Amino acid sequence: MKKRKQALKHKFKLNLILNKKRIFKGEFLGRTICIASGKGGTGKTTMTANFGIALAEKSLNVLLIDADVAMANLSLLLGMQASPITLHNVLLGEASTGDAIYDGPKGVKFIPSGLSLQSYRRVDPEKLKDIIEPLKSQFDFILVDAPAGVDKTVLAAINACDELLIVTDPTSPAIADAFKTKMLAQRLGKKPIGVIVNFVRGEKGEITNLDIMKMLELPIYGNVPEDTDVRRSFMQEKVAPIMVWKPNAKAALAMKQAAYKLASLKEEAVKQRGESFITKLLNKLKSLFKKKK
Amino acid sequence: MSLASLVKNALRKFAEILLAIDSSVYPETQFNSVKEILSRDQVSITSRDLKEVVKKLRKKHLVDGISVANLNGSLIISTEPNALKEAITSAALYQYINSEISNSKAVMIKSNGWLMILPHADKLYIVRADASLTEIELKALAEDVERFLMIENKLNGMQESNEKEEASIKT
Repeated sequence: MKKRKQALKHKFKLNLILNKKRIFKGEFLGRTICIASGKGGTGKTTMTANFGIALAEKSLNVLLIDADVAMANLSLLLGMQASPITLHNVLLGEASTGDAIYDGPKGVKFIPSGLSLQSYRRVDPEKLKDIIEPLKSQFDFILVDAPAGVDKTVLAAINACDELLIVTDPTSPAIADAFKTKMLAQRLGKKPIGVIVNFVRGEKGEITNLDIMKMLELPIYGNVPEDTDVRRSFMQEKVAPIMVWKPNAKAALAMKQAAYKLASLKEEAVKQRGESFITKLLNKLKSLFKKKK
Repeated sequence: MSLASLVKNALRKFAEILLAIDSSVYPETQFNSVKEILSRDQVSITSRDLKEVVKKLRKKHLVDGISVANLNGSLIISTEPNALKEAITSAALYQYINSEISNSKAVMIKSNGWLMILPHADKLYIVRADASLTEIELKALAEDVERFLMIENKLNGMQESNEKEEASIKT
């Protein structure tokens, strides 16, 4: 276990150096990551939106794609449901990919999926790979929000990416579905890279990180706590991801840390919520002192 | 439900929230049985025998039969008993359809299950299964075979060059 940890640490450092070098040279990383889970309601869309924003805030070029061609939700979460040209139009050959890329919050780019059920019946999701491939040279990260289940739309989303990130909750049904998703990706020759455990409450009955890692044979990139603020972020006049609406919320901070780990970026002092008044005061004084110097 | 039990339940819930009581239990038995069932689906392919590999791929890709043939119908490998006939028929079928509908990416026929023919890397992949596979799945299966053949070819090439080297040293 210790050796494994050391190896992971070493890999993280190596990735950090490589990423920095490439970014410095002006090259794009071109990583394509499919965010899937098998089970519905585990927080794939929330994770996609917030991971994208967290990475974009770090000056990385990020593109989010809503690959849920039947039940598009990402555009609703980003408050961009009125986009006239969507992934549906691109898949149908009615528009170019460039026309379907929109500016999202915090510099993130976004390709929405159409909300109309009519055009969903006509699109061929298998063409998604052909759309994503040329975009690799223009972005550091392309995060693809996959639908739930294991049908052909999910297959198309996984197949269009090189890597797979699994989102699960700490219950056995969700982990069983996560396992099936991992198998599906391996069957398609894709690389599952890790797991995000969402809705963590710290209850005795929750499956532990160790058991999840043993079963899925994948590292855990982060534990995102259950946070009512995430639910509330959908219930605003202008819907916005938690990272925009309340960047210091528990879940937002956990997602930020996980996103940095995913990108092999150094985890900067991500402020932990619940800092005591005295700590905050001391930090403020310290910063004042530094400025005077 | 009687009024007494309603009150009792309400009080219990209130107490649970107030005292932050965690009444959940770790589902160890269930989790272990799920793990055991799912681990049966895992397939590891370590063999260097093509026939063995194709048999394992049948399990990995959840299909009943796989045959690999050249575009002219000559059989390369199969898991089926009457594969020779199937390869010739499938090749003829594919050639005919492709001549009528050019650039056909796959031929899929439903008859006592599905017969699927995929042209890939100058070969025909003939797959039988109860449920149809998508083009993505068929391609993934074909690429698994191609990868194996490529590695085998490389290994064979290395072996041949080693043998040649040894022979030249001896002479």
